[in-house]
Amino acid sequence: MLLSAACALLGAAAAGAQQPAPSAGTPAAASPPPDSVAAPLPEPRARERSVGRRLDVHGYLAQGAALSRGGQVYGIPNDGTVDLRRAAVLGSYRLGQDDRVVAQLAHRRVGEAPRARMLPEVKLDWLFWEHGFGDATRLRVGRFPIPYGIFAETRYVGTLLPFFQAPASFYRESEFTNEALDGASLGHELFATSAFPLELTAYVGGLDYVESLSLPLGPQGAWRYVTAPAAARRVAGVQAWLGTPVPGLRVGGGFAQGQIRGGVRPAGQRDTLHGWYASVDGSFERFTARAELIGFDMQQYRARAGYVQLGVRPARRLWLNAQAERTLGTLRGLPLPPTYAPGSIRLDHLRDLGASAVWSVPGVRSMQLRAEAHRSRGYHVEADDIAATAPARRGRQFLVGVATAF
Amino acid sequence: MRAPLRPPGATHGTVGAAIRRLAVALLVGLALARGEARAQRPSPEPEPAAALRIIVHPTTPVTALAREDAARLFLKRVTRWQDGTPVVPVDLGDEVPVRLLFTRLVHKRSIDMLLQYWQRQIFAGRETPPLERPTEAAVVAFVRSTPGAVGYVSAAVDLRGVRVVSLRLE
Repeated sequence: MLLSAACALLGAAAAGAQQPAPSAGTPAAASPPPDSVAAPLPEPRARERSVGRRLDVHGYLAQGAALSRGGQVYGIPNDGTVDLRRAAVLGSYRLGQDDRVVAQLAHRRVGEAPRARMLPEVKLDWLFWEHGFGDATRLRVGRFPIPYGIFAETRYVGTLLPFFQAPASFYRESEFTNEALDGASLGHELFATSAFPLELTAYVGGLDYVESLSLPLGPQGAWRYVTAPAAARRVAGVQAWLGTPVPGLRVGGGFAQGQIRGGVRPAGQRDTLHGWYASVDGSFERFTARAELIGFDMQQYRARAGYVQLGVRPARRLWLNAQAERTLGTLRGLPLPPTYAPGSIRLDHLRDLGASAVWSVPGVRSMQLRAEAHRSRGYHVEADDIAATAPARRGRQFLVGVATAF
Repeated sequence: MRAPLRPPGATHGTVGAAIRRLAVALLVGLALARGEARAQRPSPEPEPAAALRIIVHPTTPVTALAREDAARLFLKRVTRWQDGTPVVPVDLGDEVPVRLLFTRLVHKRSIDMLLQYWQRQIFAGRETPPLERPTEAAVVAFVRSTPGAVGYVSAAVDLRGVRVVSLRLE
């Protein structure tokens, strides 16, 4: 069905969905227009067709130093770490007016997180070819960032984030590959010049990623933090963003499905994932307000999660941000120890309240310093053998960092 | 034995207190923002649009642009002129006063917001910002020598060899 929709979009593009070029002006006629300066033109320079003109190179770096109180979360141990880093170099080479090849090399360090040992030092994060059918339709083939919510495509770009990491309840954290899909996507923009522009994207493909979850699988039902490689295949999804007459305010949503294998589920078992999400994104000159909700259902795990994020800019270079997020999960069908009643169990995986201050360094085009604090409660602690009867862990995390981009 | 997955423990008070603190911090921030806005009110009136010139290569088939169209050209949301020639927008450096004026009048946003927009585009793998030239003279020279080019400069610049396009601001 999604493929049919994609083909329909492609057909619409081919039939002339190209956005009109600016037409307000009078086409240039044989006689010079009144504003034209009729001086003789100097000898035109040779057209720049060099690699330098076609190639754009950009990059970013975010470095954090953090410590926890009350248990390790997101790779941040009680005795602190400076091994939190996200960096990437992105190259975009224009093959012609309508075609580009984009590649991104990425390096990430996730502190003491168990999944750290599974991450390569440098990874080919993206490599895709993009073709434009006019200005309204874009086809991507290769490995590309999954269009998913507000932050997924830029989730590691520190200069674009109110906190060091995108909200973990919605985006998960540190799984390295779960933001890139091997496959194809087709994006199309409708009503581009209206007050309600609509941006639609459909994608298909697969990805490998790392799954991490606290599960009550230890002796006597003790909580264990399980980390294992997983694969998602036959992934198909769509996303829609609707602009509004209020500049900076948009609403969106999407759904996706796929076949999952590996990860935290018993060997040989496969699962089918169905997910949906809804987003409100308000980014204004002096404040931001964002909220996203996500739900996903598998045979053995069902989750509902979401966050609310607010920010104010009391001075040109300073943003103050606050965030509340929560993940609620339901386990079912897992071979749970007899500690638990048969059937499904609900768990309050994570609650997090955070506050941050982000200051743009004067004299540098894009550099930010940040300080943030979080108060968390839940079972999403990266430690083994937390007693099943133990209350949810409470903790605090503190982080300072620097982020830059060029 | 059933294990209480949410054992009794009054954590809501702690969470509630934290929420209250966050709310207070936000209110303080909002108050500061309002204060800054008030402090900025006496700032000089925006320069008239007459101080701005949109320029194109002489062969470009356009003589007037609406504000929204101009914005879409410089955001690379429209990539071809009516005759099929690729649009080549060229920006000034972000500290040049004319760029600040252009950004405010045409994009209707601050330079900070615009730079953030471009960072989102770049790092989502979508589009890269227009070329930049450090001076207005360099913009004129680029537009003069590049078919399809469009730029903006102040009224005081020597405009020989380029066409001035009138800009309709609503």
